[in-house]
Amino acid sequence: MGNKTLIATLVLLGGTFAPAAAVAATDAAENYKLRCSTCHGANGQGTRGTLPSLGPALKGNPFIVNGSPAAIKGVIRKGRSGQKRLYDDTYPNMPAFGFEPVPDPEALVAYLKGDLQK
Amino acid sequence: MRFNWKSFATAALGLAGMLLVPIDSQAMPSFARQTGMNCNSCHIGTDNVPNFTRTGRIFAMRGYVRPTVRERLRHDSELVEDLPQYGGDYLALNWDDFFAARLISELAQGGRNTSGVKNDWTSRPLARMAFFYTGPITDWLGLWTELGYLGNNSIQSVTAGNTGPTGLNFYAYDEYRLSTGMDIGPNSFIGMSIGNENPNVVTQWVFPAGLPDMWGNGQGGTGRFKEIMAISFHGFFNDMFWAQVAFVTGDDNISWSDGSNQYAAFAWNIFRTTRNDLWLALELYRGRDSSTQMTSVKNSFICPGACPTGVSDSSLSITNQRGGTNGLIVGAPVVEVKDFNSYKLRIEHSVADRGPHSWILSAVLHGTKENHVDGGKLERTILGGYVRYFYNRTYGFYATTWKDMTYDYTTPAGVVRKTYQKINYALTLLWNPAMNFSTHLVISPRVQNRVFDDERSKYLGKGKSYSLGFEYNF
Repeated sequence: MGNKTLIATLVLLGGTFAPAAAVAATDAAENYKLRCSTCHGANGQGTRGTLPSLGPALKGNPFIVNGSPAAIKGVIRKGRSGQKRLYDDTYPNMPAFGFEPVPDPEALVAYLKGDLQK
Repeated sequence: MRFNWKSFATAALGLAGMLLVPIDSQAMPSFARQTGMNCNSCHIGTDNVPNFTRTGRIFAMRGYVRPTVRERLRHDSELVEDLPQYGGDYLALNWDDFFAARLISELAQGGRNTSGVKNDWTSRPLARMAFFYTGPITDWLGLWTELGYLGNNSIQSVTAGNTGPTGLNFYAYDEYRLSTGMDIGPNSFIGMSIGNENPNVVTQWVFPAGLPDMWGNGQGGTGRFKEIMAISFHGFFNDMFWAQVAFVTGDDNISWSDGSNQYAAFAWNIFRTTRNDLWLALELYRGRDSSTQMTSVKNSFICPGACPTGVSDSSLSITNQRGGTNGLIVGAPVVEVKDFNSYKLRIEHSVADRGPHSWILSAVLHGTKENHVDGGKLERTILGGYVRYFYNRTYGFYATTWKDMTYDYTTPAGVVRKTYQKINYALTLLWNPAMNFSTHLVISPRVQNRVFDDERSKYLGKGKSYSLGFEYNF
């Protein structure tokens, strides 16, 4: 394979990957809206004011702001129920989200720590 | 082959280990499938009927529409944000998520009757099978419905000589409730529901089962009770105060025109967290359409005239005795109720996952007064208590106790006849290897009748019963 062919291939691949990153960001926002907003609010404000109250605010949440991405991903994947619940409030157990509902947890964590906090 | 004790012991230990390790089930009933939340979010145990966390109770009060995963109301993967949420283009059909079932099987049951004679040792493999179709129909309308098969036979007796009753060995029941709610401010909503159960199902104060209940129409449809119609208007305000009024066709028949009943409830949610939830509630129920506490009223849909040989209403459990808490008096006259007034004062404390501990404590003071058409009257007051405790949501028990504080019948001639019965109590041991699979051992050390105090010789109190079985929700 000649250099030109290699360069062309890399350009094409780059072109493929660049929009993919943009799509991932969009997907994370959509994924949040779909899987998280019911309990944590459309803008991460939580649902303390609604009944039943379902989840705490994630915007400004110290765990989201300061926690490691791995730890946040772990909560998404494993949920937080029973004795592991952090909040002595009226919230129910947080369900675990597997691959199907949250296919890209890294992107979702980035969204939680980034755009959601703005 | 020589018996290998080491292999046997290893296998037995392995099996015991498998049985003792709590397993997380993948088979979740409908709400869990719809919301992704596990059973323990809303319940502190489901055997034999649900007990609730604060989330579960308010979820029911609000009408089963929140939380919901809205895209589940449509086709998988179809987002709804830019589409109408309901209307003529909207198909609210996703029954595989909404569908759930419940199986209760009694593996062994026995005991003694009130005379002390030993009962047959029997099994009821299909003691109860219920199907649910439950969840939000639209964004604002929720449905609860249950269709049930209640096995009521002893054909599967493991004691020789017991052939059981005839083939008429079961009855079905069904209940439903359509509910809606509307937010009217932060932590406040109003709602409405219609259904065929007593209106206290809106708050789920029909539970815990085992507490005194002289109303008892918690089951609708054909079966033990006549079908009623209930319309409820209610609201929850400032995350703290519950108010409800409801109208019911009645316990005696389904006609509005010959008298109906009215229900009201007021509650104060004092502590309001999942780990510390305390409710104080007053329920009132009155009206002109009720059967009496004292006697059973025949209400057979299978043999409205004469029953076939070997079949009776009582053997089919299709007599209509008002209330879930037995109020029958041996030798009581059959009377017609002119009107009645009753109340239920309740305090209930629930704690979910405070460390390894979860519990529900509940106490009820429940009273009623009946005025009879013939001029007689009846006054009854019951005090009851209930406790359910779970360790790690796996090992637990519940216990109930209740006693008539007063139960007096006044004849039309004005003679007051007091009644006699000892305190009632029962204990159930629970083991939940999964949150939707529960095994139970129910022990009732005292099974007794109730007599007029001036006929104490008719009292029989040597009965006892036990039942070992399991409940599976899937």
